[in-house]
Amino acid sequence: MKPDNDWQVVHPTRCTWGDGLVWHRENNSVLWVNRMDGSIHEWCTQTNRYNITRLMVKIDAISLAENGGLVAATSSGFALVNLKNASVILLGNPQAQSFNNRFNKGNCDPMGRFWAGRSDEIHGKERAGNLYMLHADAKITAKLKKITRLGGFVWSIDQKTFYHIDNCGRCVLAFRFDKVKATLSNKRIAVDIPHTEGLPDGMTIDQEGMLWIALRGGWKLARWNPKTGRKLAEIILPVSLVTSCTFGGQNLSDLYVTSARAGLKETDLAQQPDAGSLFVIENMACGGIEPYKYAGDCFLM
Amino acid sequence: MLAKYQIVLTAACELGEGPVWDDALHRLLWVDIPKGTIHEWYPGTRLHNVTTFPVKIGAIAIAVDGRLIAATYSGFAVVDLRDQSINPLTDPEAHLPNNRFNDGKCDPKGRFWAGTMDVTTGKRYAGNLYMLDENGCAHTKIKNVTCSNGLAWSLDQKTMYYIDTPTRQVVAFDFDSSLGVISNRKVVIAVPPIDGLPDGMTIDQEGMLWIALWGGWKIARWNPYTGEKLAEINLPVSQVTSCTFGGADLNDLYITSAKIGLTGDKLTSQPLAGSLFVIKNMPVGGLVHDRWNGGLSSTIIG
Repeated sequence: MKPDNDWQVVHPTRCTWGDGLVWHRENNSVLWVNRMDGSIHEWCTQTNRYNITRLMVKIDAISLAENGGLVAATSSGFALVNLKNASVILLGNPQAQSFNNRFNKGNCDPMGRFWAGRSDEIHGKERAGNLYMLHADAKITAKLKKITRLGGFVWSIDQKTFYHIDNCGRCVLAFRFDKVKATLSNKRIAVDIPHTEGLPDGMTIDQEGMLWIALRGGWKLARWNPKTGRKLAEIILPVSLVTSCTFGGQNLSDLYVTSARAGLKETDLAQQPDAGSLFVIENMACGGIEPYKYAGDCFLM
Repeated sequence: MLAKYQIVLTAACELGEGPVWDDALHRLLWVDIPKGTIHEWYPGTRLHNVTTFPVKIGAIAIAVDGRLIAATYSGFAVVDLRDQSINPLTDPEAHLPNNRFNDGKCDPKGRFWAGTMDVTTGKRYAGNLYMLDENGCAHTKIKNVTCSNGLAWSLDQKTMYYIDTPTRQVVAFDFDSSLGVISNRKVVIAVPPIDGLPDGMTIDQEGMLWIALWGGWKIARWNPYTGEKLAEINLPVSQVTSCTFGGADLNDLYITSAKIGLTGDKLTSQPLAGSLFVIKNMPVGGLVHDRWNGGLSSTIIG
């Protein structure tokens, strides 16, 4: 077993709010967003090249698309993004009238649909948010309604269970997932996360089906077993606001972690100068799985 | 003879242009014009940062406050690479949609000069050379240019050198540094067709001009007092676009290139097109880049 605190800062650039990590196997790169300014960041692990693409809309979450571009949850709704020319094609904006609402996390399901949760981030109004699904034909359906704050979500390795973080309930909820019909049923609490751990935020699943959860305010990531609800391991980081994590690298065994510095005072930042950085913990004992890609490739980019 | 070139980054750009050495952060900055990207190369750590903006950028210079001044397809703008912000200042050619900015550079008093060209129809004499003062106001300095390109100021700050590419000439103006006025135009270098088309240029510590030769597979050093070619360095790419001195002692000559427009055999015969090159430890180095004097006033940035 490797030591748990073997993190490194990937690059000196720091995001106000890093989030939305995804591994891009073809490019050998990790992609993520700065939610505060509409930029997408890319670190090419083989070439030391760091790309920042500034877009006209704010981006909250991204996934890879089959057509080589990205699908995104933005301040203007769902969108396709082409990093080659910084272009954005808007696909539709659910809850466009709710100005306090914005997207938080997004992820693609095993059938290539892109899901993203939206909630009231300004006033934290309860039950004001929805979890939306973007079909390959760009139709949008609400899959969970009247949620307060939805964190990261993943699908189990057998693709039969959907896990999502309920920020407010401080738990991981599990649903039975019918991947053909894209339905969620039989809700249960899979993991309860004590207040002392921090606020659960982003999440990824490893090859053993265990959940790695970013703990905002908790200065760490931790691994939970969703079948037993037991915590298995944790990795302490030098920053308090740990926002999301995903596996990358050629063997999908490097765990990448985003963080934020938004809202931290000068005194906090002096204690955690790396806040906002991308971190990596290389050669994890148990790696991750390839991200699913958005199947909507029928759009001209 | 001079040392051979090294490849810093292979085929990184479609149209690499406008290299600027940042002596404070020890990095080379340059643009890939049609992609709207600003590249940063840190030779110390070998990091390569690429920031893409939603507008195409023809040229950049560093401002005294550490931000950048950019000549974009939508006029002049202040760019901050730390937060990737871009704030428009003024667009002197908002009425000329076929034109875009090309090369630009700061004069010794911190004004930013940049010129335009008609890239849409290629019309001759459709561009202008502008000077952006420290208040963010653009002044037309030379009218009716075709492809505004390299700029340099003499070591005594009394002469401005300028290239309008299709003329195949370097012209010199008397330069009044306090007022930013140019006058008394004269041709100082005529580039023979066999050498290619003069593109970007830089001046060295002896006052000689290094000129990138588009279509010429090389850069060459000219004496602007005699019009004589002193030296040349061959490169493995035809479209050599610009050059500048960088490194701790300002004696590494960085050279940008382009692969735009190359197809088929022309591209396969020069796989390094678009690369960034460097020739280290030149016998005569260059000067610190002048910085744009504006950008500190909040009224400019808005």
